[in-house]
Amino acid sequence: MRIIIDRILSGLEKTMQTLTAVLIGLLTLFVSWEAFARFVLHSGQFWSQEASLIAMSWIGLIGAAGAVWFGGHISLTLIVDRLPALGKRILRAFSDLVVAAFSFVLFLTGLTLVDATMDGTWSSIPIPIGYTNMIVPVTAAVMCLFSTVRFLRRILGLDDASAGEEG
Amino acid sequence: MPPAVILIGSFLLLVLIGVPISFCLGIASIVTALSMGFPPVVVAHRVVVGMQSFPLVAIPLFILAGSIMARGGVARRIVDFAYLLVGPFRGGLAMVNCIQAMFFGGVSGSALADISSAGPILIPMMTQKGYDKEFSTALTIAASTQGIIIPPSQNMIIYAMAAGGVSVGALFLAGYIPGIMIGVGLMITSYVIAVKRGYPREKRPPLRQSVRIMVDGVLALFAAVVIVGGIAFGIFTATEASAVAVIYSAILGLFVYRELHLRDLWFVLVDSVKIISTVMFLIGSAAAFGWLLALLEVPATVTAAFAAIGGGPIVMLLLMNLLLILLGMIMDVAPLIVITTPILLPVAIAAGMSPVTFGIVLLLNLGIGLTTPPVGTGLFVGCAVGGTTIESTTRAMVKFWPAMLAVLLLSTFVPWFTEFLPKLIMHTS
Repeated sequence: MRIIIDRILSGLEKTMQTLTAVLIGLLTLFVSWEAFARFVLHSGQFWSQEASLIAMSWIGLIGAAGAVWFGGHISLTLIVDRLPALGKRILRAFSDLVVAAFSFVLFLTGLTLVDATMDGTWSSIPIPIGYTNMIVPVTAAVMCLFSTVRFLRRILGLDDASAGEEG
Repeated sequence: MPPAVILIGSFLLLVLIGVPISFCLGIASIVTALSMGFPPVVVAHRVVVGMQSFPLVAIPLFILAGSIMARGGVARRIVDFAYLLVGPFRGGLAMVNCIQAMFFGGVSGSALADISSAGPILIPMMTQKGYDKEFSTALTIAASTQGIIIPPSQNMIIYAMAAGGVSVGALFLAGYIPGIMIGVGLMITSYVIAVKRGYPREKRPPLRQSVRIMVDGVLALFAAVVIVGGIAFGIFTATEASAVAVIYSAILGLFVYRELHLRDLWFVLVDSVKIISTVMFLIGSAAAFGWLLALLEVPATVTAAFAAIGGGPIVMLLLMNLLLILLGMIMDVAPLIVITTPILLPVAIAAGMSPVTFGIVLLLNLGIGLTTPPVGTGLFVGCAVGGTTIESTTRAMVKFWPAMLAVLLLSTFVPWFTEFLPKLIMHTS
């Protein structure tokens, strides 16, 4: 059971990593097109500018959600690293719990944000801002899932390298 | 409890118990917003909008360009080029190390990319020629800090955003003199050590090979001319320059040096996901935190506290540097830029420092922090590459700190070093 859950969540993280990599590639193309249009075609491309902005927030949120799974976010480990094994486990479990709680609040506020921004549309891309903001509750839900599983693994003494720590 | 105490107190508590810093910023902001009667959706909105800024697009693209250069053979060409220039001096390979870091910093802007791409070439090369392994590793790490000071530098763009729109072009130009001074300071230190320990001179390669090395090196360095020149002369924005940097480095790696295949570009993209997305999320969370800091007038309170210590601007600036070095010893560059800029920039301005100079001084402090234990990412990566321990490398590093501290103090107290080039080229006041 545990192996199946690990496989599913690791697969989800890999998919998110791939999606983020594609978005970074697209971002490069959008900005390059923007520069090309300005210098060669002598016209501003507002759609590519707005698409870049959307891609930026999606890259930040999707990638950040994935990084929760493998402990990729920067943290200060100075004190935690100097604690005995039990203290380390307790603080790391607490940290996962705090991240899960924050993600849950972000999920709820994200839903409110989507609702509040549904009426406005991007100026050159004819879609409601609420649609592009849907990434907030979706990624917050994934962050919450990842950190809850990490928390449970720690308190059950099941944590291993796949949920390892990085500085 | 006053909201400012809740904001700073909860943030520090969470950081100390090891909660990821971007989450600490978000949680402290939500708790404070709630205590002030704001709906938490305001914080979520600030996080998203904080990431949706067009000038910020330059950050992921400069990181990507640095990764492509690191993998595409740029580092080796720059090492060869530096070898040609300074190899024949006493302790030639140590000089090569400093010069290559200066040039690599001038095209990639990343200290860690420099250590991980040039370190595996230079450290074994140096130890083979009789250089002490710890000396070689420590020098590689110290020299790499030029990467965050010499433009282009994604950290300068993070600072420009955190400072509320300081000119990226002016910051880039301001970084040249202090960055080169670090390189020169490290070269002088290395020369003295080389003479004392009898480290060798290197032979210059034959003419034909030298010409080839020079052409390859100039092609790599041309990226710096296009990127920084383009921004400084107002031809294109920092964001457009970052796209040019990605395309130029990909063309060099794919078609000129032929060390990259198309599929490698995909691997570079995937490899850069972690660093790009965690930095972006950090910037988003810091936007919410910074908004509350300003709303609660924390920067004004901190400035008043610094002024109350007495001793005038000199003491204020010395204390500020001390605080930044101490913070740099325990925390990474990007989080410190976004956290300390809104708080300490008003202190620096009150002491008579320009925002551009403060940006360079901040990065110099944080650059020193990269080389120090207990938490120095540059030190960690360098030791992993060089196969040395943190303790022995730190002992070797002690010899390089005076040069770095001297540049820091000169840049802090003599504005000419940071203001000359922006004034000369961009006519900034």
